[in-house]
Amino acid sequence: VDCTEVVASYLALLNSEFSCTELAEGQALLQTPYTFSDGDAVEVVLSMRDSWLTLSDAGEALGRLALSGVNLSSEGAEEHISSTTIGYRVTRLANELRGESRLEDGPDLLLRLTAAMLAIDGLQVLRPSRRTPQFSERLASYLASVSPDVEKGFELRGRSGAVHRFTAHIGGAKPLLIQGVAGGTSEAGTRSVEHAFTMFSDLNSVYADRQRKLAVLSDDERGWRPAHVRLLRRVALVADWRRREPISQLVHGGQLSDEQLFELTEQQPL
Amino acid sequence: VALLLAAEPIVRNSPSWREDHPELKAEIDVHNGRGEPLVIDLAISIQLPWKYKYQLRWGFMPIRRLDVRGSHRNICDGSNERWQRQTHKHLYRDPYRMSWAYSPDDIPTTSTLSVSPGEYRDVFEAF
Repeated sequence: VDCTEVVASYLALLNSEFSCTELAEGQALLQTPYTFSDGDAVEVVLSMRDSWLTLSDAGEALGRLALSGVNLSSEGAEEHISSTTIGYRVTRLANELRGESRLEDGPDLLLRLTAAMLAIDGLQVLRPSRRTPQFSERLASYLASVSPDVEKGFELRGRSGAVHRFTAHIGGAKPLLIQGVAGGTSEAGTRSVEHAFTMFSDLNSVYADRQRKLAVLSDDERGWRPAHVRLLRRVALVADWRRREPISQLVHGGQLSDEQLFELTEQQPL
Repeated sequence: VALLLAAEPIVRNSPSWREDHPELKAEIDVHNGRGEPLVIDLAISIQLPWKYKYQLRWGFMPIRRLDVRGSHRNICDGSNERWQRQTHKHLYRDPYRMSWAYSPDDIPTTSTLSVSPGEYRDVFEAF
């Protein structure tokens, strides 16, 4: 094996792939032959003053890591980032990686900084696995998409003095308080129904009208107990998340019957 | 991804910017008919203000990213197509994840290394 030839052609490739763009007097953006895992170029800002060289990634490596969904302040990320900056002897200044050296040590610094940038890129494995959004988040997002008057996480003091936090509130001449209810026939579902019942029952006269209160039941595959639907209907309108159009009509001031909002069927568990 | 983008996404709020050295950053909720957690991330380099990224994210997962005046190579598909300080858009595709990019034809011109007046907003609206 002729290692020398392989190394020589590798160096020739590297040599042809470097490019430099002048940014200001004594400062340039150096594009290296290396790429991040998504194919974007590894670039370094190079500043020269007297016989000193400063190299900076301009926040690229950690900025990209944050964009990839990794929380940079999490304990795991902090630990791995520290190991990388210590291991490659580069400085972390907030989200910027940088290093300084005498001009003659510049190549070594460039090697260490680009290696650190690529190592940071590899920390994307720390991205949390996809989280299923809570039903209340989905409901609030939907409501905000159909009306500009939605306030998420609306807090209201009840007659008992307790403060209740509703999924959303729609202001205007006909205010509407909305609470998402999730969990179906499970124990969590029962607690969610009871919680909504308690909150809606504790409101003052402004919300005395049942038409001003809406419970939206999630599309839980276990279905909902008709008794729970009837219980909630005593204090609020009850809608079915699987049928968005009636919900949208209500949000825009429409009047709908209980059956139009939630159809109780024989298939649902007793 | 197609289902997410078909769910009538709408942006209601203006971004609220924060300085996170060495970038300016903002996040904007994207409301949608499916109630999915869609967010737009904005990141502008303070040192290189002509180089910035707008990204659409589903939960923790990026699904679109516009790299304005960025350099890129499509290594993943073997084509080696290159962008040299040219605006390109990463598009999530199952075989390549976020490694594949293309030149979007619906983004205002960003051909010089300086930001024109109103460019950040114009590019955001096009994105």
